[in-house]
Amino acid sequence: MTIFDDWISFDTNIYIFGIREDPKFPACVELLERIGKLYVYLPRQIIRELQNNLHPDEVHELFGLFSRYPDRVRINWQTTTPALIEKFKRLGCKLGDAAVAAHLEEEGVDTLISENRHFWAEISNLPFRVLNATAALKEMGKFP
Amino acid sequence: METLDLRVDEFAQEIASWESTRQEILLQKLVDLNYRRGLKALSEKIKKRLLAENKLHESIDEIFAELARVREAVAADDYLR
Repeated sequence: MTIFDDWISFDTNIYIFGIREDPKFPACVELLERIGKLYVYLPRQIIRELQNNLHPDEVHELFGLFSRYPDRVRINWQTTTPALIEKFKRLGCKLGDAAVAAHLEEEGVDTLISENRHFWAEISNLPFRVLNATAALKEMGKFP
Repeated sequence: METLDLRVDEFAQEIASWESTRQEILLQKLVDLNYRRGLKALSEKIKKRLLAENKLHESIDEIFAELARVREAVAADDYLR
């Protein structure tokens, strides 16, 4: 499994810290800049969160930018399976986190990049690994 | 304008004579550069808007709290209605 070969997902915080160019999270900025080198799966839950955190014209522009990489950024507007959401709620996730986890399991996504890594680490038996942006960049550095 | 068109045409003719791998590398570089420029412009626009709304210097905890609130609200809208 490498970060270059497999579909991964960015948690919403990666997009938000990246787009705000937050000085405390420079790795998020760099990761967002390098999205065209990865295969990034964007499920409905994350899309709708971005819509709620940004203005409509900003979302439109952001997705217009992603559309320059049609083979690299996959957008899925479908809701996920309620039974999977229940499974992750039983593991200790709140509804929203359970929805994200369910989307990832449903699509077979093996890696979630998140700056909320410590929170995700508290959930046992997740079917994907969680890296922060810095760790993801380090992994990318192994494969120039 | 005509001079510019002519130069673009000459440049395109030259690139068309390159082997396809080189052409693809150039095209990919253009896509990447335009994406990064677009992303930078969008970041500046969003930061300007956040500054006007007095939200640019929110603490990390405030941002995480808002993200968590939105996450639950979106999921409730999709799965609890």
